[in-house]
Amino acid sequence: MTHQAPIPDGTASSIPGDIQPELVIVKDTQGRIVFANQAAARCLGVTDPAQLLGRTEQEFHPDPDTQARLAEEQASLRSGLAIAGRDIRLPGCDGRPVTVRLSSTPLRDAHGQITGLISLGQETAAPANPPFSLLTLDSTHAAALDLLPVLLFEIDRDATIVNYRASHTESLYIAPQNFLSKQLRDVLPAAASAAIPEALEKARSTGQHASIVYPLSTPSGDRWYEAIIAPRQDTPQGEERFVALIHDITARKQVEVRLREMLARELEQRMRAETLTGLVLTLTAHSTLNDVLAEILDQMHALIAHDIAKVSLLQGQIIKVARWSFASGSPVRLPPENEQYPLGFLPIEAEIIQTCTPVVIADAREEPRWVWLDGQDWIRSYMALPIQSQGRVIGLMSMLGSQPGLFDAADIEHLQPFVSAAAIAIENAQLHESARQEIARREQAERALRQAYDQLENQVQARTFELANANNVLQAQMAERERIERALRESEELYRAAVQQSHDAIYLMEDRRVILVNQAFERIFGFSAEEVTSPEFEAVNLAAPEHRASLLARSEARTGGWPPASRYEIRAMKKNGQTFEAEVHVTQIELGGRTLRQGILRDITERKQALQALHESEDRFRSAFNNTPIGMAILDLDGRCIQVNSAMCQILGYTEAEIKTLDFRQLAIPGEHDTVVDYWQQIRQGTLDAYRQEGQYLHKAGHIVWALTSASAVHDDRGQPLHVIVQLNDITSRIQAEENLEQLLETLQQRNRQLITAAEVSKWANANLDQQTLIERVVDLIRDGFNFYYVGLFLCDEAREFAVLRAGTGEAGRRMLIAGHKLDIGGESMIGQCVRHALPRIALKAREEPIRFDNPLLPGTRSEMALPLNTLTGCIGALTVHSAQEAAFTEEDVTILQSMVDQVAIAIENARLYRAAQDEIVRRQAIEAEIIQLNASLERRVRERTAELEAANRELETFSYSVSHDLRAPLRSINGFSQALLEDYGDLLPVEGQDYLKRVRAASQRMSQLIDDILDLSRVTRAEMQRETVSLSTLAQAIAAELLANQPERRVEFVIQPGLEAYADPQLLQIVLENLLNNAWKFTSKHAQAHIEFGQTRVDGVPAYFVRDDGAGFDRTYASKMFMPFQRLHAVTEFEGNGIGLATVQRIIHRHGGRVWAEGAVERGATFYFTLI
Amino acid sequence: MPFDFTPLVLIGRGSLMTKKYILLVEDNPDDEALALRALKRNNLTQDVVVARDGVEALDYLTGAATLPTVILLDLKLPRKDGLEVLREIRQNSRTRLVPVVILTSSNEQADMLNGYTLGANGYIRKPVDFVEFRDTVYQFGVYWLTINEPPPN
Repeated sequence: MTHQAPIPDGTASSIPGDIQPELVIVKDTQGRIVFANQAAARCLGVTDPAQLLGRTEQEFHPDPDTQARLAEEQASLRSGLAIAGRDIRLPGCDGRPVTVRLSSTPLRDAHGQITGLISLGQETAAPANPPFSLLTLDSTHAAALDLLPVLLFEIDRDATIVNYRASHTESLYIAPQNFLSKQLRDVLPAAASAAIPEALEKARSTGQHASIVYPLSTPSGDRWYEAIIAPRQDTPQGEERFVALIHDITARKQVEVRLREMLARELEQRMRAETLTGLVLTLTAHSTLNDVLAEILDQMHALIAHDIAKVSLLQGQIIKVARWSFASGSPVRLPPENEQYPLGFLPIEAEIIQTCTPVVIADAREEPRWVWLDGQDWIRSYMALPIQSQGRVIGLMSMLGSQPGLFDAADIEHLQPFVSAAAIAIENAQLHESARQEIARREQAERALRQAYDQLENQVQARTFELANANNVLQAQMAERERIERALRESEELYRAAVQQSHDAIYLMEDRRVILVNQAFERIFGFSAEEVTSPEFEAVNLAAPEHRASLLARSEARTGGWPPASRYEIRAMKKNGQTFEAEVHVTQIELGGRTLRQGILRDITERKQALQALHESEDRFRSAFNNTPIGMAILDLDGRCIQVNSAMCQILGYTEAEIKTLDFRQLAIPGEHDTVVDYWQQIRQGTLDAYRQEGQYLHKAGHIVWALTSASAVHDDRGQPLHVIVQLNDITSRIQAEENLEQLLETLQQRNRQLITAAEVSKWANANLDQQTLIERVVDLIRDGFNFYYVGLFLCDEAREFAVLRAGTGEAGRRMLIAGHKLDIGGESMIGQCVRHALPRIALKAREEPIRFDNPLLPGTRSEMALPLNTLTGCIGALTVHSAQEAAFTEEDVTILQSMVDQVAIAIENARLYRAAQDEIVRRQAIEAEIIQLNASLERRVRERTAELEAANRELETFSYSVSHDLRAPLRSINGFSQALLEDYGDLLPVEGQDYLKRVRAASQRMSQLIDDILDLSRVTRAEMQRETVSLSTLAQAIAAELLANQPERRVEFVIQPGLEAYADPQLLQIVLENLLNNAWKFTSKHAQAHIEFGQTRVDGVPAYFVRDDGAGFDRTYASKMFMPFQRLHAVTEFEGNGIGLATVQRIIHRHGGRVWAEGAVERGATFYFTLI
Repeated sequence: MPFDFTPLVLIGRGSLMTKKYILLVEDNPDDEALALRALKRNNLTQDVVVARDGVEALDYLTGAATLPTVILLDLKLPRKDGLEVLREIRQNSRTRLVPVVILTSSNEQADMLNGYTLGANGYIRKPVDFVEFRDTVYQFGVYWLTINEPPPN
């Protein structure tokens, strides 16, 4: 029996049992509940303790465990032995079972009879009196971590899971289970498991994170995950631990996939589009630069024969051979790998790039500027063209040949369009490259993010923090405790039992003396009640020596009166000198004028240890909270930060101190502010527990930060919202990456549209349309292709005074065309200036352009551009382009548009030339018709003349025939009968008469000869010419030989130039040469020696043949008469002849289209020249 | 004008049936006289029959019991010209082998060509000079009447 100090009646009843911090149940020997406090009622699932009275516990939770326990309690009632504390499960409130550490002691009456059983218990899941702040924080951290859509494992070196945070297993499609002691590979899909050892090794050896990306098919579709393994550095020494963070990266993957798909689609569209040329199509079908270059080289092979072809790209001042190819079987030495040279080293190439002009070198050996590179002495021919993109040389296309003169300017012409196509393709490929680089950059950014996470993870120093309301909560706790103690006094009987049964040491003091203690006191301190209550015992000795002085001092200070209640923790000392941590509640009690103090002292060593453990656990959470790369904050309901981690500070750009002064809701950009406030209002009202939002925040520096916001309310026991946990996932880089991708795609699409438009324009430009149709098509195409507001085309009038609108889009264009809209060339308009100077004019802000025609029909124009239609012959007009946006034209737009306009200009010029050519053709046809008519009439006249001539010839023939017959017949009679007269009657005639008759006969003979000569001459004129190649030398030789044979006694030297030929009638030429040579022979007959020459010379540029003699010559006064028929320069007696020979010669030469003339002088020989055609 | 038919001039009234003789076809009386004079001077007169145009010549040949040894044929003849007479002589199976020598003042190549083409055996151009003519006639007579073997009947 313990000594019990007397406690006055009436006081105990005032202590309400249900305020007892512990669960208290008193049962009678039958197990029926005779008393239960509020805590007990809660644990048993009822609201009012009265509901329990008279009933057995079994009625409330009839499970096997309870039955076993109740049996145990019955045994205790029989044996009188107490039951030590054991954990039991009770139904608890609201379906939340509680675990209670319960100890039971039989109650005895004054006679020692067992009258019942008292059970005292505490909830073990949540220690009865932990500081409320810590408890709240702990759950808050946990909640915060739960919000993260990640699965965290802590693994050891063998990838065995030693700890985990697995509130999101369901979203990762890993079956909820106990992961402890399992291998990481067991919980990840096979696709990821294989990579674990390598990743772990990497994390271990480098100290950096390692990443495993793997797909997973889920019922809701295919998803992508990333497992990041990072070494954990805040682990105790010697332990090697790793954190495996698994999160869903499907969104990122989807962006990548979408990008690839869009790129592929763009390419496909491009493939389908009718593009500039087939070449561009072929070349741009390749997306990588290498493929494009290979294709270019293939095409080059097909275009121009060569030995080696190269495509070089300019990188700053270095010209680098990007790719080359050679014709198989070429006798060449192949160039070295990675050929590249400084531009200054190659003067020819430098000039090509500088002047943007192609070069052809026929023979490198004769080119002084040629730089002979090692092993390239086989090169003879060289040709290179600049590859231009947007007016800038980006490289060279060159060809080498082992033979000189392999290339010429025509090859350059031939290749020029191809080079343009190649430039587009190369640029396109580079654009694709940059798209890929963009993806790489974004992935790098993500890696950097993960690295940042690693660094955070390394910040292992746990930061302690205070909750603003911790003290308040504590105070409330204290007040409650006091009320409990007051209430205790109200039930003395129970109080006594409770005091005696309590595990806490309970004592009463008066002044510094202890006057009453309970059994627990004796048990805890080891002092007996007598020892403690003896007047010699100083209560202060119950405290550890280091506390005694301050306790005494406090006691002195309290002379004016003790506070009604106080609570403190103290280190107490047992009788054996062992000290322990204790919590003491002291309550002042007024009893019959005595001032007593009741103390309840509890050994809190275990709790301290538990708290220590709790702190450690909390540190882990806090570490995670602080170190996660995701911004997290715990806020009160007014949006004030109670706690914030560094990631949140970084995301928003504020320091921790600054952010705590701000209302979180005000950090959303103004546009989203109302939405956020509305969410918070709902949270405060309890109608909303959480929200997720992809939103924008204003960084302290002023820029926008994109973040995925998750906010969740934390509720107190009564379900009232207490805090809001906000989590910000910075997705700015993702959004930017997406925006960049979108921009890139937009650029690609725009470029595609422009290329298609360019191709369309090109198509129409080459379609040989009439000019009006062409320009109407063109303005519509450009307007639609570039999405411009208005496009119009002006052409200069004949006088070049006005630029006249010839085509315009839309209603405005139609009205202007009807009105005959025109602008002064050189006048105060963009078109006027553009045409005058043949230069583009661009107004990015149309409203501010000083020289501009503000067209009332086009009120929407914000930027405007005029591009000249330049041709070789000058500017023939201009294209006007209006956009409804300011600064709508990029340099690239201008380049592409200008190239289109150039094509249009060429097409218009071509159309003009075509028209001019058509006019020419019409004129020529008219002339031709006239000529045909003239020819017809000429032919008719020729036919008439021919007929006349033929008639004349026939007449002449008839005449000749008559002459030869009819004129000769009388001559024969004259001659014959004269002879007959002489023969028959000659004797009868005097000699004189006989002579007369002889003269008659001679005259008739001469007459006969004359008739023959005339007939000969006539025959020469009439004979049909048969031209063929005649050897004049051979003819002359034969004639000379005959002459020499006939008169061998003469000494005449013939000099005949051999090999003279003419295209002439051989018989007629025979007559010519006979006459001339006979003449020469004849007129040299008086000389003892003669020299006759036949040869050829040139007179007035044509060949002239000549027959020269050194004979009698002639008086040149009569030179022109010589060729007249029957003209003689010599007497018949001197040189025989009838004067018809040279006339015959002249007629023959004239018939051959030539001329004949003579040079000479008396006794100085003669030379007869003739030409033939 | 009624055709003045002058009977054939038969020079030398010998037996024409067996004798060699010349048929001279000549319309110009001067030429006939000169030709006969030349023949006479060469003692060939008795062997000459003269026809004064082409028709007469052909009629004679049709009716002649003995064909002439040789025919001296002028080309320019009334009614039927010499070349026509020649063609008919060659077409007539009886006369086709009779030697015909063309005696004419024409030296046109066309006449020579046509004459030989139609089967003339010779072509003599009448010289204006009578002495020359007489020599030509002499040589002609010697050749055709004595040297040359006539075709068989």
